[in-house]
Amino acid sequence: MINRRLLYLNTHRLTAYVWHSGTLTQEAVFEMREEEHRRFTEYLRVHRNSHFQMLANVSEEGYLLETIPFLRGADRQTLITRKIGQHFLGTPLASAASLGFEKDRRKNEKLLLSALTNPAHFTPWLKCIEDADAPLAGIYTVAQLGGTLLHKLRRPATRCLLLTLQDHSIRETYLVNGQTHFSRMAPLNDSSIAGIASSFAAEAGKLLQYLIGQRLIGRNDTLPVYVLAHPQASAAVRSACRDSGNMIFEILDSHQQARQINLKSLPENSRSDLLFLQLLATAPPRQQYASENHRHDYRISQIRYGLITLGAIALLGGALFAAKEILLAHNLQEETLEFNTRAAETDWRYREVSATFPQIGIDNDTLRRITTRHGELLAQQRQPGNAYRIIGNALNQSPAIYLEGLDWRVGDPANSANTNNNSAPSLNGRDEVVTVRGLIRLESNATTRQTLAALENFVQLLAVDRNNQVKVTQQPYDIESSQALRGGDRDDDSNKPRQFSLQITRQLAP
Amino acid sequence: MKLTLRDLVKLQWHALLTILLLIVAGALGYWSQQRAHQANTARITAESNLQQIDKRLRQVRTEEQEIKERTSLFQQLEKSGITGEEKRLEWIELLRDLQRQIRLSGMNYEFGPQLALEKVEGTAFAYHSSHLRIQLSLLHEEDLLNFLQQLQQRAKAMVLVRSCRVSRPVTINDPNAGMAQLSAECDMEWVTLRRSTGVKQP
Repeated sequence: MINRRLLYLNTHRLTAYVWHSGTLTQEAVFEMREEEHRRFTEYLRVHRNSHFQMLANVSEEGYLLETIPFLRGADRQTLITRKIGQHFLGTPLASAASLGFEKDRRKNEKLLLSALTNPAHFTPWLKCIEDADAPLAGIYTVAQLGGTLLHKLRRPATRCLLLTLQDHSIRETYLVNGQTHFSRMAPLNDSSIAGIASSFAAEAGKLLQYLIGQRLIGRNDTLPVYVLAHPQASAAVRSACRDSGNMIFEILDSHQQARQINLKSLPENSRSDLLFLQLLATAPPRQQYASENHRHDYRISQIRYGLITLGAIALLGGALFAAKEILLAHNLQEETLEFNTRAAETDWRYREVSATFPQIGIDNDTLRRITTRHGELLAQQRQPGNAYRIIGNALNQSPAIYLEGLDWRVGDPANSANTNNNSAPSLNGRDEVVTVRGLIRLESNATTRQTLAALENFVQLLAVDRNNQVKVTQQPYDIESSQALRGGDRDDDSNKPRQFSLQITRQLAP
Repeated sequence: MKLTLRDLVKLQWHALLTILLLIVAGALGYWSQQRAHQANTARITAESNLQQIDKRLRQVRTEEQEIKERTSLFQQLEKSGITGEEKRLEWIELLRDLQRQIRLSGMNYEFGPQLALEKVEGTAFAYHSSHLRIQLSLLHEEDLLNFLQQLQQRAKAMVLVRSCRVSRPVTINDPNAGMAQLSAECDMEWVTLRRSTGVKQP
């Protein structure tokens, strides 16, 4: 938390206050002397981590209404600086507030220029602040805070007068829509309650006449006049300040109003300094008089606190994120624990059920795999007996066929049996293939046609079983068109038994 | 506002503190995120494990009868000698016995090296096979069928006949052939079941 210190500067001295939650505590008073300036520098150095705001109550103030062309950015700022230089003799302690734009085609901007016209009064104090590297947030005036005070006190008058007592003077402020258009300070010659009351009444009348003379208000206009007075002085002020044709007085109890703006340090006399300091601490105006050079260390301080705030926010964010993640991790760990417990329980049930099975030392998945594979292998366990019987039956009905050899194998009819000893055998054959090699022995005068007919008959006998696919791989005679055909008138060749071979493919039953 | 070197000096400790806080915040976030990630991984593993065990339990309940039947089959395989290391000595004794029993006049055989029929990881059971090429002298083709049938019934392995070639001998008067009318040459696989990392029998 940044400590806030308020510097109240009047024509004679500077008073330092520390502000904390609506309580203002006076810390030091510095007179307008050089040794006091050094003491002020030391004071600032001691409290260099605080933010300082200066409230000035001096008579050298200037207010001016000005109209400038419609401009933006640097051009506008340059023109405003020039106007301030023209009207206020180049004082660096000046401010400009926009009052809006005229509603004609040119849209000229209305400005309220204000300045502290005696910068020499501030120079030694500002030098101390600079020497001490103290962060000065801004320089404000009591008149500036008049609008804020009335706003807080719910006195929303369009135009009004505000009279307050500070030090040994009366501050008279003319406000339009909460904005100070004119302010002046009148010395107080008699500090008694009666003197204060009569001074309020007299100064209100003088100010009204001045404003009429300056044509800031009309001669017949009626203005509310707010007077801030101590409870003990209220009655006297009320009796002194009688409503006239142009002025309607309202006496504001300073203690009551202090409570309304949450000021816990109530003023002990008719002075209103503490109320304005409280307002400065809680609701400082946007406009202030210090230049950027005067506020340099304030900007540095803002950067410092910005950096710390950034780090703190990052740390807080990291901590919150970490808390969320740790909570998540905790929940996940609990779920994991629950899963493990359930897994252990389920495993125990599994073991209980498994215990009823014969113990063979292997798990069920392996058992399932090897027994399934066993069934597949068993389906491959074949013998040539069936094929032999089919061929035997056909031979019994074909006396001319003389068997020379039988090749039986399980596998693809296009490939021969795998006899490679070094590679894993393929045990996936779905067919049995029988190659029959034989001779056809007919009578010596049998013709070629009869020989072929005997083979054809044998093939038909084999093909009676529809599962058999019979293919003649070698004919007794080469009578195909693709082969050369030779012959003669000699009978030697025709008397010889004719060789043939055929292939029977049978699909294995599943 | 322009910052000078003097201003930077004024800001240095605050900047360092901010950097430190940012690092601490980042580290805190990273550490907690890693912890949550690890917890999440552990949870996924535990859930997967539970699902696997649960599935196994449901499977074992629904397939109780099937598992008992398969267990019985496995025990039969063990009893018939198909499981475990090859018993080649008993195999050749069986071949001799059958030759004598069926009165085969001649028999030559050659067992090939054992080969795995399938690849399995770890020490799981796997089927292995040894190739046998056998030549027989037969009086009749029925001798071959009897021989093969006896072999499949009595061998301590699953005998898968892959091919048989039956032919007449080149010369019947060959003294080595004896009374043989036929000669046969068969290829078969002798399949056994054993753990894949078991020691092979020479």
